[in-house]
Amino acid sequence: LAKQPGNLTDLTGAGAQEWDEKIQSMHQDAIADAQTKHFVVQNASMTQTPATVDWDGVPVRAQTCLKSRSKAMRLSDWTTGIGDRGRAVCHEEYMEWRTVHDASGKITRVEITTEVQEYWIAMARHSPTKLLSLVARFAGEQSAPFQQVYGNVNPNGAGVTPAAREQGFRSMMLPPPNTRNPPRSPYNNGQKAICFLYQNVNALEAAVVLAAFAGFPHAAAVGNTGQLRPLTGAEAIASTNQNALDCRNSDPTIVGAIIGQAFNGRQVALDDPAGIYITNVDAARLLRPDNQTEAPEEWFNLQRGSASADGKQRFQRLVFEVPADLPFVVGDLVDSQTSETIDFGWQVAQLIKVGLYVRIGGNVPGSIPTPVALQPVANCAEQPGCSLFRQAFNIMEPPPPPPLAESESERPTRRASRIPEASIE
Amino acid sequence: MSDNLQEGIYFRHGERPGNCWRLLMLNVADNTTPKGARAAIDKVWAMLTRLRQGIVDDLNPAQPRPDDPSPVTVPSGNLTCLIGYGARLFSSSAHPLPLIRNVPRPRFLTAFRTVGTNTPFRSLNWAQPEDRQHQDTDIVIQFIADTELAVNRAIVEVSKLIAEQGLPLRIVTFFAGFNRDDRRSWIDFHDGVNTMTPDQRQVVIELLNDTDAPWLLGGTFLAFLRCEADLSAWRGLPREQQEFMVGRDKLTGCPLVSVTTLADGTQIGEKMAGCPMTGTIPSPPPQGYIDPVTPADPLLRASHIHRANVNRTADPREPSANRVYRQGYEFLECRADGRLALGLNFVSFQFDPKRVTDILNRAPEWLGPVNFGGNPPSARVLSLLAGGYYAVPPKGEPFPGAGLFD
Repeated sequence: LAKQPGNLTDLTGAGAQEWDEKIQSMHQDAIADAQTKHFVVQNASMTQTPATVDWDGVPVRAQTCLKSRSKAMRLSDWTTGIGDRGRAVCHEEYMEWRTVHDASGKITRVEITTEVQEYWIAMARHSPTKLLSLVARFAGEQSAPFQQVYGNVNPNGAGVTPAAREQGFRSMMLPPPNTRNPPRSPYNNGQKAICFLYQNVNALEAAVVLAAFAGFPHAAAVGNTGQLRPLTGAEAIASTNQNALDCRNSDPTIVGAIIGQAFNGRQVALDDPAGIYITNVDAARLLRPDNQTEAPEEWFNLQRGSASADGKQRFQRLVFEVPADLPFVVGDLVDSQTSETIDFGWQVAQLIKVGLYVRIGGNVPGSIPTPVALQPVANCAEQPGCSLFRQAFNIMEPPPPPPLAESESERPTRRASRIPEASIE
Repeated sequence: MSDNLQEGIYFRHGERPGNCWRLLMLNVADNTTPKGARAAIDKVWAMLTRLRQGIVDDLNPAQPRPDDPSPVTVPSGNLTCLIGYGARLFSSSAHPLPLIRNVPRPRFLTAFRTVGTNTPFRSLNWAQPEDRQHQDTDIVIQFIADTELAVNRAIVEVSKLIAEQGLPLRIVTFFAGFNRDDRRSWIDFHDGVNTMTPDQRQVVIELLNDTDAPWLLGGTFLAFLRCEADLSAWRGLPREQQEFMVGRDKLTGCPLVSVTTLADGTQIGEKMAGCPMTGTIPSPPPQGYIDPVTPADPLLRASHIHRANVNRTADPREPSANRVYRQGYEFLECRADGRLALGLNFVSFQFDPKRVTDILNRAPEWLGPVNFGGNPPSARVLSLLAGGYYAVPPKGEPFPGAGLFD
């Protein structure tokens, strides 16, 4: 059976079996659609320690499109009465977070997840009691009412099928279809908790499909030397058939890494257990309010994973907070690289690298690098998708009304008069 | 693509940097007004502009004798000058009378930490306090020229001008470096093998599309790391171990692409097929020589060349690529007690200094866990004598960054 993300064991019996089938079918469908020979299901010949393909978890497109890190930080933390709207718009790098504030508005905790929605859906179908317990734990509550997780489906009701549980779970814990809104449930829209990656673009299947379509030995000519080099991720997205979006941190990184191995004629596979993992936390970057003492690693509580036999950790959740017995909170800490206090979840999220573990296998018979006619790569700051970030930002912080035209502003104030100034239209 | 980058960054097609390098560190005197600082830098920059044309002020007096030749010029040595500004310039503790009033400090322009463990980087740490040469400064001016005279003369002329005109500037120190024609470093391996195209370099260097620091648009950041190499520690390692740490064959520079383990457990690094068998970098070099694909073997993935460039097939502009444009110069000097200090003045230009930090701090695949290369714990070869990040505004009149002092 396929291992469960993070080497977890939340699924047993039929649930574990279904997870295995899900992983198999996800791969088979992606490989068949892409018709790749280089991206494969992990096999017994892949014995070496997996390589890490990782990237910054902060949504770089928001920063690029808004042309401002400070605006991107504000938008990424945007919350309204319906939940974490900034997350729904911005968090697209296989990492989502929520921030918790105290009464004064200071951040007291940042919770980060890379858990994939497919796994939670499988749990919702087969392990509802365990799932509800987990949800309650994430929210710091004794229990979570099933209505806020499963809607009008009682998951433990007599005769309730896995399909019905999934339907109810989706209606609450995933965004309403065809919207960029957060889920209805406060347990996954940031109001009470954050459980897993709710954005569809952050699904495990999206990563598998992305990797499969990258599994080709795409090459570009090196000047007039007669030599070839592997396409970069950005070039491949612009010039070949990819299921990826350029200008993110994640997509071009994954695409480029897979193409690099295919260029060498190698097979590549996602390491089992397939998942999105926290690969690095730059804990030492944060300083206590004295601006000298580093925040200890213990304040970064990594969860939902354990190491595989290769020694690499597979954590999928991080809760960052200052111990309650200390006289300061997260919002009082200082980023040593910028001298900023921590005012946004982004500033903690930027310490995190997330990624995939990939196995590099044997040679694909007959594989030779294939030259591709290069198309211009995207201009990231002007890509069409930028409009979404700009629209969202303008809703969050409406721009001030345009200044009066010079002729109007210079017009002297008129005296009160009996003469009507203008007609009503 | 426009190009308003200051001279002194040799990224353009066909450009080759001169052999001699200096980095002059300056502070603005206490209680100087922004207007006073601006006027002082303006005078320095104007003098350097004349010097680049071979005009030395003392040889071209304002009141010449009737029979004096004019102008008197000296060989300029193709001198280039580049000015950058450090975090100290923006600091209220360094300048209680603020020098910069209307412009925010770029967020990642901060002074290197000197206190705490594992500073300033996770595994590239400061040298012993008695050997350190580090000081934060307001201003750096980089000089590059073909001759020692040209770069030294630039420093002397700055010093003369400050003294003669009582400018509110103070020379803190300067660092020297030289180019090597063997394209190797003090540890004998080839250095600077992996290069980008001029277009890629500009993408990596030039800051664009950032409204948080509009005064820097079209400019860049300079990263300076004066890294001392511990030759004794390095030479204590057998050649095979050195090669695994670097990721290349010591003599030819060929990348190692696989590892063979013999019956007795000895590991042998295998060079790429068709690798040239000379000690010089071939021209043009084979593509796999310049930019070897990430190897399957984790021992090779842990080598310096792969740790410094993990996401090899990411486009250079992508944040995950962490690419920087390097333009380093070696150094050699003798300490007061007779010990040699030698190493590399690592100088790089990038639109985001965080990239340098990321390369050096990131774990587990990047250089964060190790001092130079290999699997931790590996030999410590490098320590830092001095360093810093500096904002390098685009070309401008009367001098780059003049608007900072408005």
